Amino acid sequence: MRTVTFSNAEVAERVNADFVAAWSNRAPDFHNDDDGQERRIFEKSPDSYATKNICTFFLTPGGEVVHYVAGYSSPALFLGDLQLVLAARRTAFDESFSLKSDGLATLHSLHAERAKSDAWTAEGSISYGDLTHRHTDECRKKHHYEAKYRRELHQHWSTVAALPTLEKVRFDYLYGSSFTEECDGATPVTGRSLTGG
Amino acid sequence: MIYLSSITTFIVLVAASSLHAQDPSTRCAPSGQAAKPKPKPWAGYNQGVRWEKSLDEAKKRAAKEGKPILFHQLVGAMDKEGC
Repeated sequence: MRTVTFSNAEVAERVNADFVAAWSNRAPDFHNDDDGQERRIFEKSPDSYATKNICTFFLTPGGEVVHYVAGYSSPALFLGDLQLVLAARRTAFDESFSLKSDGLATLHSLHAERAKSDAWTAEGSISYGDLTHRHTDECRKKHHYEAKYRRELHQHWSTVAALPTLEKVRFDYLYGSSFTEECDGATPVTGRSLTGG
Repeated sequence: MIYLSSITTFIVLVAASSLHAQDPSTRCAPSGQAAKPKPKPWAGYNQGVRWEKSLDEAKKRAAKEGKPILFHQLVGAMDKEGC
């Protein structure tokens, strides 16, 4: 995420303008400075890799989760997530960021709409360091699992009975691939795969 | 002269390699594999997003400005080079 998406100028501009950003390492003292795995992910899954290894949560200032997405998302996909959260901010919450009386229903509708749209269309090219991937019809066919993850994730959010707190889902979320770099000292993630991956 | 220079270079390289391998913040794998050379960062690397120091700090500013929080949880550190 940080080497591609959070380094993307359009994503950074939107995040800095409309969000307050923070990060946390769930394995203190661990840091992988080998980019081999990321390069492999980029070569095989340049648009999305919904691994449980990492997760980006979108919260209210009070710590309620409005949306999350596991793993890596390309800038184009991630901009869609940002837009969804901003739409929720405008329509489901009041000025003080409290959920309106019909706010949960509004949030359900936003997610249900996303679940119906077929996740995304991979177009153009995307870069990672010295690598550039240009989408073709063939690589679009490989998006089945990633699209399935996003579709079912939005379906899940379209039926939640209440907004969960970060504490409730921080280490218990829905993901696609079970790949993780968990090691001694890491807080393990539970939850389940939506793709059987 | 060249011989002494080569020995000095060798000693410096060994020392640097040893220090790198002992630094737990640069482990490349949970199993403690030997650290690999750091990849060369490229222009714009993690330069765009302004990160608050902590989630608590983010909550305070978000409440003040009425903005949602983006909280990225990873296995690794955002303020170091690499992946």
